[in-house]
Amino acid sequence: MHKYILKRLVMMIPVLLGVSFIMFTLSYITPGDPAQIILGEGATQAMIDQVRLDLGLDDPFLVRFVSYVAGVAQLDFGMSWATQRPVSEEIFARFPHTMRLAGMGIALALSVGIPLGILSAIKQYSIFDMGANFISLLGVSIPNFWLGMMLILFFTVNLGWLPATGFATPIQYIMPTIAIASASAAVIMRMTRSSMLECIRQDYVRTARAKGLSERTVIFRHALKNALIPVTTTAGLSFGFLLGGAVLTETIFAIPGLGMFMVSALFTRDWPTAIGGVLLIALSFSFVNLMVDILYAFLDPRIRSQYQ
Amino acid sequence: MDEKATNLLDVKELSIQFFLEEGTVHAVNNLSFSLKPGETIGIVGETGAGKTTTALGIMRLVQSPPGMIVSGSIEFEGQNLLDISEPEMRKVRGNKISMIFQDPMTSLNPVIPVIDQIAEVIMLHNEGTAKDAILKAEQMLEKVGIRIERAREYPHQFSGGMRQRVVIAIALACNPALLIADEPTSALDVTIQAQVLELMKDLKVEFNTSMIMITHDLGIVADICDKVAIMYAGNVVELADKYQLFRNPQHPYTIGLFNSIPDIKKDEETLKPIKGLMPDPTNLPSGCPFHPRCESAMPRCFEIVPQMVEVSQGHYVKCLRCTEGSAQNNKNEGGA
Repeated sequence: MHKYILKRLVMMIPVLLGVSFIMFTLSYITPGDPAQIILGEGATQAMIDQVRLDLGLDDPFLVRFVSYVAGVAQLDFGMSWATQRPVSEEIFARFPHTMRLAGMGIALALSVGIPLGILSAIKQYSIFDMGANFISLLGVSIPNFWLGMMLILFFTVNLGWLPATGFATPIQYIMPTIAIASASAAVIMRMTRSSMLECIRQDYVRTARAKGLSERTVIFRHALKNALIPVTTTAGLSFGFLLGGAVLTETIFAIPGLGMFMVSALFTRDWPTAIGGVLLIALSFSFVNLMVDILYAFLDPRIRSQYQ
Repeated sequence: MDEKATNLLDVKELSIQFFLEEGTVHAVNNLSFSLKPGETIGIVGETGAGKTTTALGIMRLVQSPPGMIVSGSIEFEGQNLLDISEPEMRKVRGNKISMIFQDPMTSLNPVIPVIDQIAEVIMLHNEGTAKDAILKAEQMLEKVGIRIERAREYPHQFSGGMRQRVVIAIALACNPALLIADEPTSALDVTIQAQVLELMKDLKVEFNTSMIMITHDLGIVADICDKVAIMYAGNVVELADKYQLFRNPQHPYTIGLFNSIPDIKKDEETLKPIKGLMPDPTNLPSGCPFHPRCESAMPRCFEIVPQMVEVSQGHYVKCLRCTEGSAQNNKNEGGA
């Protein structure tokens, strides 16, 4: 198992290299002179040439890429072209907000999605099941920025209960978390339901009933343990998407997170910041995937024995 | 009356139906049989004859909806299992009546070590600590021929035969009075089949367990059973002592079953199946359900539902030809 984890960690290196290569190429082929953008209108050609020299913009592509990667290997992501401060500082100041938002979002999605999924599988075709399915359909189809705006309209503008912006105090967490979690909760609920439905028809569940176990034990000890295995994958993927895709939610609730920061970096062609942010998200995505796979092995002995 | 008192299990006029959108499936129809302590009955029939449904009916595990036990009674140790509450029934399941399922590859939980799956049923039905239960479970594993070192392994680490041994250990862990085995060896290859059957025979004697052996293999019946019920379309069509049935089958369906076994001594080119198919259980034929396939069907067979008739001591047949007391009955006494 340790060997496996180590192997997976090493495997992240080519992934990150690939991501930085793609991002770097994009920055290279995008029109517009970064030096011009940094200096703004009215800069003289001499000033532009000086900046190009300082940033090494005239070097060949591969030379620039290799020197960037060499920097990243020492945790140096370069300087932000917009703020002239180290990218790593800028990113790490914002990443915790995004992490917290995504983490609370996935926690809410799991704690709503799994119980509802179990209930609607046990009571398949009941009114409850139909209601839960309808709500989950809404959850998937409603865009989270719209839900966010409606929440603000209702709870802030009309009722005045909750603050519309910020992400520092628990009361500020409520609406952004709901907005970001709704789609994931719906997906997790549907996944739990279908996985549970499959499990309660399995022979080993019949065996458990034939032992004389109560229905509750049959469901929770025998069926759920198996049903959660595919749910883990869904939850891991959702979490990854929440990390990278929180841009709209962050924008609506004015949360100074990584998503919002990266979007503005892209608008100003602040490539070191944009590439650094993408790398960090790719890294967290890889970590989440690794966690999911470890959890998989924990839940399923068949997979565990493959790792050994 | 006296006989009734000594029966461990008395299934009477049991009917189980499944209510589907396409129609009502008459899976089990007025089925009756009884079993004495220590006795083994074989229930034999084609796929779809209602054998498994009967077994699940006795366990009260018929999937509901859509399935339902619509009439009849299942007397077990003098108590009608259909009258007791679900919590009371749970005390019977796995404790007094156990069941072994057909496919050992799927009937164990893949994410729980086998020892825990055995100990679980012991914990449930016996007093005592978890430690006692594990100890008892280890004894059971030894009894079915699995080394204790493997106790903490998971089902996927065992072969099919070994898994069925674990299932047998679970079923016998609480020393049940009745064991229902639903084609316990169908999914196993022949040498393992023999081992598992041998094990079941030994344990049955050791624990003095009555057994219902569901199978479509007449060889298993000859090997392990005391008496046999032949099922067709949810009905028992013939019920007799094993020797009587093998020497002197009466129902045309039973005779057809025996004829379809190829004789190794003769150089037979083709198999002799019973012609036709089992009737659609949503739309059973009128009269005797077997008449469309019966070679000796009479016009009356299309209309009259035959009743169970005792053609000789302990030998019951559901066939109009036998109701009339045909000449064949005179032979059977000499055979035994």
